Amino acid sequence: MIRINNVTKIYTTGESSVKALDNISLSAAPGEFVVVKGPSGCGKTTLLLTAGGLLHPEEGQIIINDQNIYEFTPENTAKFRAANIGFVFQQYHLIPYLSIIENVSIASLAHDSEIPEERAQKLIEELGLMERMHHTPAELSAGEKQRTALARALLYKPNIILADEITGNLDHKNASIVLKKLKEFTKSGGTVLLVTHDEKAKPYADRIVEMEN
Amino acid sequence: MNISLLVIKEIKRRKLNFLLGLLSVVFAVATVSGALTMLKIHDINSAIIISAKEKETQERMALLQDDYRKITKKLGFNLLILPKDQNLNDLYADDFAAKLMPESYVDSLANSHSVFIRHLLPSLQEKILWPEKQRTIILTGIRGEVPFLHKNPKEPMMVKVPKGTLIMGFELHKSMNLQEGDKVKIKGRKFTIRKCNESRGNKDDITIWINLKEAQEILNKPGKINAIQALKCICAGSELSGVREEVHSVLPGTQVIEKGSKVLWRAEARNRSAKEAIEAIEAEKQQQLKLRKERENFASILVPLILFASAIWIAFLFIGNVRERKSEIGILRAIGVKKWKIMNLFLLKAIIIGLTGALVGYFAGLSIGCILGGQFIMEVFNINLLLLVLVFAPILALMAAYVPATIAAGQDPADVLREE
Repeated sequence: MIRINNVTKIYTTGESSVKALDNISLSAAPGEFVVVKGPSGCGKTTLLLTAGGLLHPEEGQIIINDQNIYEFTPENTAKFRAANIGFVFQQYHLIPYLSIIENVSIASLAHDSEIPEERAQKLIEELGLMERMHHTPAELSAGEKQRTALARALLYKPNIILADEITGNLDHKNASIVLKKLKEFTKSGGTVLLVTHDEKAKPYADRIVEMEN
Repeated sequence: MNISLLVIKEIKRRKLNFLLGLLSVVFAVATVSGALTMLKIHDINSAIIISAKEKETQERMALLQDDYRKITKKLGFNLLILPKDQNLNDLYADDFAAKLMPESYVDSLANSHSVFIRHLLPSLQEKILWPEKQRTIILTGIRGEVPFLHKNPKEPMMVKVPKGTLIMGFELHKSMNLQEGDKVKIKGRKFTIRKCNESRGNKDDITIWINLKEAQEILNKPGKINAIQALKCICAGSELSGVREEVHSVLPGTQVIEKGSKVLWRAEARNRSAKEAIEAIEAEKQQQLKLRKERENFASILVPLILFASAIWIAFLFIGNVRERKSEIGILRAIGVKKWKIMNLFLLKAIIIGLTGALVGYFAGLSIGCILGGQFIMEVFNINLLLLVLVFAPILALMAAYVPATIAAGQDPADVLREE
């Protein structure tokens, strides 16, 4: 369960400031697939990063599993994030010199114990990347890269997936694979908060929230 | 997946960045190792040069000493041991010592453990009128050399004159037309001429040598002598003061004078030569020390400069590496990787650069040092230095990488992810 309560985020550069989020409230229950839609620049990514404990809001709270994540120390926030939140971004953020299996397993760096490789391999298989397992990101298509990023996010079975425009660069087929996997994740009790302006996500959403500029 | 694997994969991916960092450490370590190797070779060469010079000098000195010993022996006795109350004025005026001392003195000296004296010749000498020939002569009674009891016997410089015989100086036998085997009388006592000496150009030419016992009887001085001639050895500490001290400890009632200026000149020449040789060695040592100091000074300026430049270079490379990996660091932070692990990604890389650079740099420096020093010898391999650079090069690299690593760890992932 994630609750975003009256969150305001302001970016300040020198003397000018921009209010990216203005008193936003939103919640997503376990098993719920929430799509946040809105035009470019309306603060969707800021909302996602704030919800993931990466951007401290000026006002409001982010409550995940009944805990205000901004009350933690930075190190504990990182630990909490590793245990509970999975991130997927439009630009994939894969490490270019690692293979697919290594990129997925990189999530183990955030944990004290290594996860069995079988778990990473199973995810890769489920996402149709078995043949590409030892390839580097440069050798993959956009869809394959995004599936790899999703596998990385799912590796430690988080409670919440925060996804930012993940289908923006994908064709219909690949978008469908990724969204299906996210839906599957919600069916197993996870929460998905997907920010996008892509209509492809609409059929998978339990709820669609519109953001305005 | 762990940090080490990630670091190794990153190194493989960005080989140039790694090689440039490595090159920097190799250069720094090679400078240290090369400089120390050259200094070591310099020390070894200096030791060889000085040792060779010392050996050469010792050999030369040994030869000189031997020559001097032989010359000194040829020149005859160079010490005169006289009664303490003998006035030297009178001695030089009369050509002989008028004061007497017991003949037993020579035995006391022969029984002592003298270090500086070789060959002892007791004598009784007096200038007399040879009544039978109406000639002034120096009558000298000698008993032959008295051997030192604790030393190996030496070939005598002066042979014994048997009783009833005499040895005659050149001027005497020439002016009186006497020959070996002729018989003469001295104060009524008969003698056969045993030997006629060649001209010596000194008082020896008017000297007659007879047996000491007979001389004591003729001169009515039984058991007495007035001089002991001796030969001073050519050895360390054999200065006249040392000889005097030694003789006085055995014969307190005597005085010792050195005679024969040629001997002294030669000794002085030898000493000058020895002194010059020692000074030449000392000058060589000073020259080598000066050269070493110059090289040391050069190294002491060059090494810190290169170490500093190397550290700066590594720091810049790491800053570049941090920038290049901004996205990677951002996602790692986003998925919950702690700051210290991010730092370790860079610090571990720095350690690998430091260790590899130290190993390669040490041997590169060793080889360069050997080439420049002109010697390939095992002695220049210094395990302690190798261990030292294996410790300090990673520390240098760590120090250089620390700030960039801190920047990486402190990077706000939100900034990176928002930018993308």
